Amino acid sequence: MSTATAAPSVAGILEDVAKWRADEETRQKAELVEVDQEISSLEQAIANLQQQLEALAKFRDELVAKGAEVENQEISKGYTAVFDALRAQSETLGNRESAVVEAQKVREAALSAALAESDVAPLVQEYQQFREHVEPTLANLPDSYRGVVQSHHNSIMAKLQDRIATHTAGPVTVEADDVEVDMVFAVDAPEGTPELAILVLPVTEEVHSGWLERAEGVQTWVAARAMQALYETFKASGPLGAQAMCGGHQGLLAIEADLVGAGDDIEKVLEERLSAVFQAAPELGGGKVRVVPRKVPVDYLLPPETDDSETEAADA
Amino acid sequence: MLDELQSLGLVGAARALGVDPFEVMRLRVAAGHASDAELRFTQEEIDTLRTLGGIEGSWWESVELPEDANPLRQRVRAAVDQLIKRGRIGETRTRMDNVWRGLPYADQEFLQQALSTLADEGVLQLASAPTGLEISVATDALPRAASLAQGEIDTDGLTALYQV
Repeated sequence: MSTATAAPSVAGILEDVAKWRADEETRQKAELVEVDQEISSLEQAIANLQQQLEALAKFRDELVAKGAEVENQEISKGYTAVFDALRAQSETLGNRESAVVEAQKVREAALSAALAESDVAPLVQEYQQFREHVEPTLANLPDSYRGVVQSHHNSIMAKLQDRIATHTAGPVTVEADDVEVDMVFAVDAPEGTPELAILVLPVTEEVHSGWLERAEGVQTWVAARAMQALYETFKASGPLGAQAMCGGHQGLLAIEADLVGAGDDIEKVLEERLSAVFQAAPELGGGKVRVVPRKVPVDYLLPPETDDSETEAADA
Repeated sequence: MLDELQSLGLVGAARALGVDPFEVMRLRVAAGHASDAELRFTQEEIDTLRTLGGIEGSWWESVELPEDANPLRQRVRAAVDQLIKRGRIGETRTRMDNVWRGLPYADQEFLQQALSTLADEGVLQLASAPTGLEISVATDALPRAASLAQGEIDTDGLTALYQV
């Protein structure tokens, strides 16, 4: 027996389709909601990450600024430290100067005593008598008499000078420990070519500004030898005819020289000449003073720049 | 008194030459003296440095200052006049410190400023030499320098200096 299967009705099919569509739409809506939620979450996460990025970038800028500040602080600390050290050393040199002056006096006294007991003692007396009593009246003598007297005086002077030179050969020496001081120098070459040399010495600026009134001593010698080294450098490496300018900074003697036109090796030559000159200086050896040239960054020798806006604000 | 019979120290040599001690060192280097020589100077050495450096005695002993109400101007006019009279024109130069040697310190300081100002303004010219800074009247500024010496003109720089 065959059973006829009932054909699906169109209404039923349409109902199924509609139901499928409704289910499908519901499913898709739910999926959309899910996707939208996920998108929203990701967008929020991106916004948070962007915020973090911005915060980190700001922090990075602050770190970079602090890094530049560290460089400025280093320069400021270096400048202060160098000048404080040199000022303290100039006091040490001042004390050694006093010792050398005393040693000089002892030497002079020994010289006088030695001459007084030597075969030239009569010549010393003659010389002193001439200077005190005869020389003031020389102009009154006739030319021929004056010539003879002057000639005799000159021959006595020559003998005494020879004898004195024997007694005073070599520098004054002190019985003391060695004193070591620094002198600092820098060559400024902002574009790679040497432009300016700066030297700062552990001596008072008065060895230059007040040289006429000031007694010569260790500090004058240190400054003189530095100048000698500088001019020997110019002679070797140029510039031809360079002029060294002296001045005071923080109470110490500073020397500057324009190096435009100098050889590229000038910094090396300067360092070499400073070492050699100071090592060989007999008067510093006698005074037991050792001067050590030290190269420092040029910024350590330049006065700190003032912030004009701060100054204006302070003045307001 | 025995000091007179000894060689001079650096400051003594500087006084004898009429230049500062650092100029003495410059001249010594220019003269080629031994780098490790003591800082003592015989009369012979001082004479050598004097000749090498072109150091002259004071120009001012017999100079009559021009009449001028301003003593600073008086001195500057006389200095420029001396440069002209002594033929220090163009390439014939003299040490700059020859101009003020023998004057009171304040005058020396002022003249140094005034002459530098005139060099900046082209009336005088400076030249760097191994033995020191040299100065002369600029050749093309000779008429101007002569007028200045006569008191007929001043430069802007000098006018400003006189007012300080």
